[in-house]
Amino acid sequence: MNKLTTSILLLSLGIACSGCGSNQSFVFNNIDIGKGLSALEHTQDALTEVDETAEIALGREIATNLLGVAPLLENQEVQQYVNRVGRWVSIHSDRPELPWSFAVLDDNSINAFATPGGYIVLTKGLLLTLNNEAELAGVLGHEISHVLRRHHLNALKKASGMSALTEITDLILTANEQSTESLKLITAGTELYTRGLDKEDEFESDRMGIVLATRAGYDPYGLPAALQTLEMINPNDAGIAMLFKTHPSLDERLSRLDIAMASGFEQYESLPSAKERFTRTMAGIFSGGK
Amino acid sequence: MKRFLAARKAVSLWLILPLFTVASPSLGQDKAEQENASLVRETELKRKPFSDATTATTLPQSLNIHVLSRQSSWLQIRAQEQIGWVKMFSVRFTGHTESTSDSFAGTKELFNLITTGSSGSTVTTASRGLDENKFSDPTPNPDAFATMQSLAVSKTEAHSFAKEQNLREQQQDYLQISTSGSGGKS
Repeated sequence: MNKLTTSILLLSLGIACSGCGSNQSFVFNNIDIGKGLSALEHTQDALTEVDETAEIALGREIATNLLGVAPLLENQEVQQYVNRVGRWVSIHSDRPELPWSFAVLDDNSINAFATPGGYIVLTKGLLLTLNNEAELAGVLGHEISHVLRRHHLNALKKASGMSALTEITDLILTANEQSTESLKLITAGTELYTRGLDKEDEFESDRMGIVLATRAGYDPYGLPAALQTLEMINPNDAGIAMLFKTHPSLDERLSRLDIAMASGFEQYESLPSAKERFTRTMAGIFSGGK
Repeated sequence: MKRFLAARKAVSLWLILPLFTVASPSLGQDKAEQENASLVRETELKRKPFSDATTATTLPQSLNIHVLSRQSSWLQIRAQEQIGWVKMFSVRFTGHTESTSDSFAGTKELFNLITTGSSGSTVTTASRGLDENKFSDPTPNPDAFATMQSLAVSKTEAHSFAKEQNLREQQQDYLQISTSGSGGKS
């Protein structure tokens, strides 16, 4: 990370300390998005003490690292398509104003990563396991939910052995430009993806992901359908090993979704999966793309 | 499942994907036959994909089945020489196991199967996986990040995109945290 970037990060985190965010209800098209969040408050912890600006600054540095893992897929149509689906889903979250952006890596492995602040990176391999737009919306809803609930920030706090996220900001703020402390934090935030989150965070993102996809008007069973597809892949396959290593078992995730969706979701069974648009767009990957 | 595909020998997934992408008709249901699935509980086999549809029979737990297609939360299956519909959560796919002799295809065209000859069936990503060293010792790519930022979509554009497919917004609360089941209904 160069000095300029470090300075931007430090400045952003400085701003962070001047104001502390709060979890507010958000009304979108007369839908009270915040309603129902009370049951999820347990994960808030001290994370609301971190200003969103600092979260975004940290997230963009981590995302920049993730984009160094593999090249971007050189297909503008697919990249735009994923951004449109993801943005549409994110609008139905309680943090619609984050700088949500999405990128597809040109790699055949199957994985997706969400960084603080709304930057979501997924692999071409994951895209190609999906069957329709509703499945993509469910998968992106899962990733978006990690951001909404600040799961990675929370994990970074734990990994750093800190009791509050403000300790992370304090650490960075007190570091001078020659210090490697902020760089260490960003690297730790990147390495986190090889270790995974708390299992409960994954289950929570599954539950929230299907809700976000539903709010956006998609068949809510897209995410569980995508998980069932992953069941077909040999777990010893190198291309999915990291995903399996860092997530709860598919069987457990599906069992949890089974319980969570046991009532109230049948009313959405006629919602579209937008299969044709998805298939048409993905075909571009093989025709040379744009 | 398209039978001709089952006969393919160890073809790279990434080579057959274009074939399916181009050749597959756009259907309301995902047409493909999935073998190597089983029931996780005793399950009613319905004539149609609706809860109040006629029950053809009740299938026992652990029964091996063939999945034919999916429609929202329902899977069309073949079991005990009958075809009908069961809830998707009653099914677990076990296609990666080596204990079955049948070749299989995925529930979708884009990710259909590759067979591996006499050794059974499997699906592969044809990938070595991402290099974990690149996470622990990262190499930032600011140019790619700039590209990523340029891809960000406005709310207005997202709304237009949704309108193309008549995606109708729904009101649905987040689900309560419970292990005993409590689907939230708006």
